[in-house]
Parts: sequence; structure tokens; C-alpha cells
Amino acid sequence: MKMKVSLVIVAAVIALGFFIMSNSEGETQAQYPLDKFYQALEKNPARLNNKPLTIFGYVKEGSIEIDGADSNFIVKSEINELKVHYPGENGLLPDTFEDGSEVTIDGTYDQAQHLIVAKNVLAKCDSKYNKSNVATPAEQ
Amino acid sequence: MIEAGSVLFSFSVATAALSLGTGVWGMATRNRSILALSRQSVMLHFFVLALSELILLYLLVIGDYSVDYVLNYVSNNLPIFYRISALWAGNAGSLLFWNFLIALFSAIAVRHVEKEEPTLVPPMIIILMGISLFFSLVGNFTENSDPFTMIIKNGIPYHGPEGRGLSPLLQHWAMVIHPPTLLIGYAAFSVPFAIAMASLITGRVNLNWTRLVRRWTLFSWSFLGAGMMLGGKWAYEELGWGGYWFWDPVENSSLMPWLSSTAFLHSILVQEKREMFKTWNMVLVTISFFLCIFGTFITRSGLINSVHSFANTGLGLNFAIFLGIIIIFSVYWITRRSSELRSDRPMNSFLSREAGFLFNNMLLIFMVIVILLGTMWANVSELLTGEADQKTQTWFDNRMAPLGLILLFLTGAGPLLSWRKTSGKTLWKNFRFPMAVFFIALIAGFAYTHYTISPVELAQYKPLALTCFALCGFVFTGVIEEFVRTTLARTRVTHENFLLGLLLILFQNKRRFMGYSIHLGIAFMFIGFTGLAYAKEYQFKLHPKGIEYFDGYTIEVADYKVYPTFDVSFANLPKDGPGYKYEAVSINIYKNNRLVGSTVTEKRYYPMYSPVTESYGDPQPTSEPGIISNGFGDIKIQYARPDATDDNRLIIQVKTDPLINFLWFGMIFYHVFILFLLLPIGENKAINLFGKKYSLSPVAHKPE
Repeated sequence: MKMKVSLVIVAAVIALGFFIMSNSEGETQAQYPLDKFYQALEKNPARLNNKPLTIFGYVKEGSIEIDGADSNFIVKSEINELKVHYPGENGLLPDTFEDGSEVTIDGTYDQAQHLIVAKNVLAKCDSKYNKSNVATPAEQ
Repeated sequence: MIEAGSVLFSFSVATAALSLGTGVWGMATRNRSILALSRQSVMLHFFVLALSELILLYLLVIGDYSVDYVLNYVSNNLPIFYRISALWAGNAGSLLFWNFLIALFSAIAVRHVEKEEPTLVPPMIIILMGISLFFSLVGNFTENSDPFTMIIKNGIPYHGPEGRGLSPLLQHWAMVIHPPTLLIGYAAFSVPFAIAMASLITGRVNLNWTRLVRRWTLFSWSFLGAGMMLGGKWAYEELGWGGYWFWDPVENSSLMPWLSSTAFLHSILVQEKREMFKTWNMVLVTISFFLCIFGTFITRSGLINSVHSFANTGLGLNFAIFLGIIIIFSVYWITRRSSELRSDRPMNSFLSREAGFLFNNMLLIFMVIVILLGTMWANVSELLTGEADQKTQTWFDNRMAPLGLILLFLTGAGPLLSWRKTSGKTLWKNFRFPMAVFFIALIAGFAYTHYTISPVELAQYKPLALTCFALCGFVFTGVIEEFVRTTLARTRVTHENFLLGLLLILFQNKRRFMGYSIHLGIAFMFIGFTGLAYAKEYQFKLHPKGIEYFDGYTIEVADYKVYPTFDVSFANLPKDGPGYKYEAVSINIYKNNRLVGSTVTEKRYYPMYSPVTESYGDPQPTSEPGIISNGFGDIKIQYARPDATDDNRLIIQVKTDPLINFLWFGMIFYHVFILFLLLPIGENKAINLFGKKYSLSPVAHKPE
């Protein structure tokens, strides 16, 4: 019986390995802070074209343009900037999305237009334990 | 007052250290009076933290804007209900609240265990106060973690006229109780961990420590579950177009300890009944406690990028060290007592209750590892390949759905197995009806889909969803059969009517039948999850009085209102108004020319005061969906904005989930039974019901 229990455990471990490592379309995508994205772009721009990826950055002040149901904005870091197009049919912008907010953009990179076509835009929950929220007079 | 709070909070480091130190000293010297001092210091420590908490509450309620924390989470027009919730709304406050809870539970646990197993108390105090000391140290010595920090501007104390206020997104009933509920769950799990480790340290591993931790584990487990679901409810109702679960790292980190403590809750039963799984239980209690702290570590250390992870608060390293200590400490004691922990009872058969528990445990831990690696995958893959790849929601869905179904099967099958070995005859007797229901439901599901939707591909039949319904049928049948069989066995002897008998057997073998009822609640929740497979989403643009058809419904925009109707700054909003600006869209929904319901969806703009510029800056928008419950499901509607390029037609999004109310119902259902399990009712030989006394002794006929 002990043997059998061990066999079950070994089988479970193998299954676990398979479960973790197996990967079908849309299950894994590369994530880049904006600057890392530009580094990867420099190395091999064609490889990133039309590839689903996640970008982290901040919304550039004054860059949000509402165009009907669609929206366009620029995601920035200290050094880089990148245009984002968010088609309205993909969803609505979250409430926390505004100038300067920290955003996570899921989408694909369009090399020809040099922009991200967003599938989903998430903006950081502003009030929860957020350091920027603690930027009080005490820190000035 | 602030100074008093600050001094008391600093003093909590001393009180925790005192009871920890005297605990160690007393154990080493076996000096009774020192051990008594250690116990009394636990109470002192609790009072110190309780007072700190009360002072913070007072500062929040009066709105003392010379305190940084108050300035950030309270504003002049914030109702008192939300001022209380500011206690746990921020990093510093939530750490203090957690610490306060640990102290509270320590004080209660010391009293509880002192009566039952006094020898366990000193090491228990050492562990609990060690945990609390960590939180006191972190609070006092990490940046942004002391809620009593005063504001210094240009070198002098500053007292603002108005605070930033609690984010309007968090102003929702579920968000008020969600964080403390989770924190209670996290904090309460310190007690089972401390009791288990105390039994290892004292070398009394054969003592029935599982009996002592049972209620504590159940208590912690129920709060973890309720906390998660409240978070889901909030996300569903407040994040306009959100669902209730996103596989976000923050959500995952609360699910992991829930799963592992579910495993623990079941495997301590095996130790009680069969004296097996002793080492495993020690491992599980450690894993669960570790995961309670680990969640906080990954979400507050900046290690993981998530929308609602918290900015790097400088807590990461402290928590990492603390987690390391937990692991080293537990591994050391488990290895040191490994020979005492060894069980000499072998597993007899895979067709036994204990094997069922073994599979349940393996599956739950399997799920924890999948979620853990999935959550941390960006970090893991960056280590392995240099590229940070993350697992998407699809990845989690594709893995957790089948695992969830296996879990659901075990939920139904486990109770049908006998201890030691299930004979072929019992197996047939217990499984025939549930299995029959399973197959009939499965075939009926496929047939129904085939004739109503006539799908072309197998995937369009939604095989996972249909299997889930069939498995729910399996669980229900198994449990109901057990109930009926036992009730009939009772009423045959007592001649009570069936319903009364049913009620009484719930208490006759409380843990068993309440446990089965919890299984029913879980099955209800699975039906709710399955609704996602049938959920639909659509976006359209309408003028007021316009109509649109979707998923069999007719949606009419009945009215569109803007408040205020005149242009006014946020500072000058009418005093008798709601205190924010809004656009409201009234919606009527019809099906077959019959009104299903009316609702209002809003986009609100709350004024947000900035203490930095000392003025009302950019408003915080919030989306308020209109939700129409249609029996089992919901139609959820969210207004976004007028489309300026399209004649200002209103952009509206609609979502349907036909089964979501099973989720909330299942959650309430199973928590009702947990409550019965926790309360000390029906634990004597008889119970008083409606003024009459009924026996609770098992009847002559043994149901198993």
C-alpha cells in the first residue's frame, strides 16, 4: 500500500509539472515595464510585432483623447513614451484611469504604427496602501 | 491624544517582548511565577494594542488632520461608518489592526488552552507573542507603517483644514467589512499554528492537539472564505464592468491560505479518528500560516506587478525575513520530532475515507502550487530565461476549472466512503443513486444543449459546465441520501415526524451533518461559478427613449439626468445635494413585452481634496452599475459617457450572468452552517427545541 501511495504522489508531481509547463495560445504573455519594452524592441523589433504583451507605465498628463467610444493615450516612463489605442468595443476605461495613474496595458504591439492596440487597460487602485496616496505635506 | 497613541503603540514592542522573554525564561527555569508573569503580559499587551486602536479610531472619528494617516483616509464629509473603516483602509492602519487581532486572539487562546492543556501555554505564548512582536516592530520601525505619525511641514507640525478622504471606490458596504474579515482570518490562523508548534516543542505530539485547534481553524477558515467572497461582491458591484474574480495576485494570495486550510481542516479529522497524517498535519498548519503572511508579503513588497498590489512600502525585506524564520522554526521542530510523529497505522485501501482525505489534501495543495507558480511566474521565468512572462487569466481558468471539478467530485464522494476500507456492497449502496443522477444530468444537459442551441463543435456544448452541473447533482444526491437515511433511522426509533428528525440529526452528529451541509453550500457556489460559461457581454449607444435588443431582452433608456444642472465648482456644490456630481441613466428591461425590472446606472464624480495643494483637485469618477436580478441571474448595466462623435449617444455596456445568485446564496448557506458548528449549541446529550427536550444520543441503528 505504501508503494501505491508513493506511486500516486509521483504521478501527482508529474501531472503538476505538466500542468505548470504546458502552454497553449493566450495563456502566457511577456510583460515589460516600458523601458524594458524599448530594450527588447531595440534587439529585435520584428519579434514583438503583433505579439500579445503586457506593458507597465504611467499615463502621460494631458495625453488622454476620447474619440467616440475609442480612447487614445500615451503611456510613459521617465525616459520613454508609447502611444496606446484602446478600441471602445474592447471595454470601458476603469474609474481609476486618469492623468498620471499607473497602468497595466494588455494588448498587441503594432510595429507599422508604433503603438499598442489595447485589449484591456487596468489602472492602479488608487487608495489601497498606495504610496502616492501618502504623498502628504509630511514628505515635501 | 496623538502622543498617547504613539507612546502606547511603541510600548507594544515592549509588552510583546516582555511576555516573549518571560515565556522563554520561565520555560527554561520552570519557574511558575515567571510563567504567570508571561501570561499576564499577554493580557497587558492586548490592552496596550486595544487602547492604541481605540485612540486611532477616536482620531479618525474627530478627523484630526495633524496625523498623516487621518489626513489620507478621512475627509470632513465622510460618514462615520466609513471613518471606522479607515482603521483598516491603509497600510499602517491595517498592520495595527492585524496586530491588535493577534493580541486579542492570543489572549483568548491562552485562556482557552490553559483550561484544557496548561503545559502547552508557555510555548504557545512564545510563538504568538513572537508574531505580534514582529508586527509591532514593523509598525514602529518601517516607513509609512506607523498610523500615529504626525505631519511636519517646513519643520513645524501641520494641521490641515480638510483631509484627502477615503476613495469613493471603497465606499461600499462590502468593502467596509471585507478587509477586517480577511484580517480576522489571517490573524486567527496564528492560533492553530501556535498550538501545533507548542505540541511539537513540548514533545507531546501524541496529545490530541487537533481537538484544541479545531474551532480556531474553522473560525479562521470561515473568515478567510467570507472575506474573499465579500471582495468579490464589492468588485462585482462597484467596479462597473468587472466580474468578481480576476486571478489577480492579491486575490490569489487570499485564496491560497483558504485552500490549504481547507486541506488542514479535513486532515486533522483523520488524525483524530485514525491517528494518521501526523507529520502531514504539522506541514499543513505551517503552510497555511505561512501563506497567510506570504500574501501580505507579495502584495506589499513590490515583488509583483498587479493593479491592486500596493506600492513598495519598504515592508518586503522585513516580511521576507519573518517568513524565513517561520520556515526554519517549523522545519527544525518537525524534523526533531519526526520519530514521534510517525504513524504506525498504514493506509488500508484507496477506497477508504482516509484515502479520500488524502486525495482531497493532495488536490488542494496541488491547486495551491499551481496558483502560487502562476502568480509568481513572471518572477520565476525571469530567473530562468531572463524574460518576464506572465500567466494570463486564461491560463488560470484552463487549469483551475478542471481541478475545481475534481475537487467537487471529491466533495461528493468523500463522505460516501467508510473508514479503513469500503466494501463492495457499501460502495454500491452509497454510490448508485448519486452516480445515476450524475449520468442522467450529464446526458440531459447535452441533450438539452443539442436541441436548444444545436451546437456544431464539442466546445459549444460547454462540456465543463455540463459536467459541473452533473457533479453538483452527484453531491446533492449523496448528501440528501445520507440525511434521509439517518433521519429515517432516528424517527423509526423516536417516532418524531420527519422534518423534526431532520433538524435533530443535524445536531446529533453535529460535525458530520453540518459538514455535509457546508458541502451543499460549496456545490451551490459551483453552480454560480458555472454561470460564467453562459455570461454574455454587449456594448451599444442609445439616445434617451431609444431601445436595443440583447440576449432575448429589450433594453430601454428611460431617462438621462445630469446633476447639478448648472455649472458649479466642486467646492460650491449645493449643501443639500449628495456631495458629488453625477450623470444618471434610467433603464427599463423587458422580456416578451413584460417589464423585467428598472434600474439606474450612474457615473459619479467625487470631489477629492488634495492636502498638497490645499484645494479640490481632479475629481475621482466612479461607475455605479445598475443591477437587475432576474431570479438566478443578473443583468448588469453600466453607463460610460456620451459619444461626442456620434451625436452624443450614450455608451452603455450590458452584461448577463444567468447563475450568479447561486454564488452569493451558496456562500451565505455554508456560512450559516459554519456558524452552527462554531456555536456551542447541541453539544450535549439533549437539546431544547420549541420548549421540549429531545435526545441527541445516536440511536441504536448505526447509520454507517
